[in-house]
Amino acid sequence: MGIILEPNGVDFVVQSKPLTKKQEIELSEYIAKRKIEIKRQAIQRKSNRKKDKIIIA
Amino acid sequence: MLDFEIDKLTDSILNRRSGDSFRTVISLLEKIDLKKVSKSKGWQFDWKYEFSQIDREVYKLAIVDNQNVIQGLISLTIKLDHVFMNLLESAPFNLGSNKVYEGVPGNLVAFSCKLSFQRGSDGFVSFESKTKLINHYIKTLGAFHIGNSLLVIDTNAAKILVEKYFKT
Repeated sequence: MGIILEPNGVDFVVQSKPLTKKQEIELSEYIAKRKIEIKRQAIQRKSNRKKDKIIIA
Repeated sequence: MLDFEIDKLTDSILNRRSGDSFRTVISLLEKIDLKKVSKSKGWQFDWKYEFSQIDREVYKLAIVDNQNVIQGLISLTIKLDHVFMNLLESAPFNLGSNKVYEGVPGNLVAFSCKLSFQRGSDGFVSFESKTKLINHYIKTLGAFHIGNSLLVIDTNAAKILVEKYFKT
């Protein structure tokens, strides 16, 4: 079980301001793009594993 | 407001003096808790206000065997595609060089990632950071800095945090 320690002398506090409409849009665009990238990477990893299996066989 | 407990047990806060780790529980903040987390008790943020906001869910972290003492609080908004962290604060006795427990914020962030998976947002969490802490969050949480002071934790980083903190 890991524990993330705060750096010495620094307290981890989050105080976010409400997102502006522009930030909301930019954030949603970023998240949508990143979700696609992560799915692509997962598919690529699966496909690589299959190829490795075929080569070993 | 929903009324259920999520992810009961972790071993994720550490007593700095004894070095012992303690199992914790995260649950929704209740009205009865508000008097414990007021500014007069040393808390920095207005948790009564957070609690009153219908678009926010406020969770408390406590030690399993001592649930009367709140170790930290987090306020979250469930957005369509991710979870937005409005506020996160450790209890006054968990701040500064004499803090009693280590690991409270990391635990609460991991919880927000878990909630994001559970609510269908693939672990995505966003929050705003102080400039001096951005690099720390990138390094320790695996967060991405997407401009200004906005940080995002994506699926990959969220999985690591959830695995690190939560027993399944």
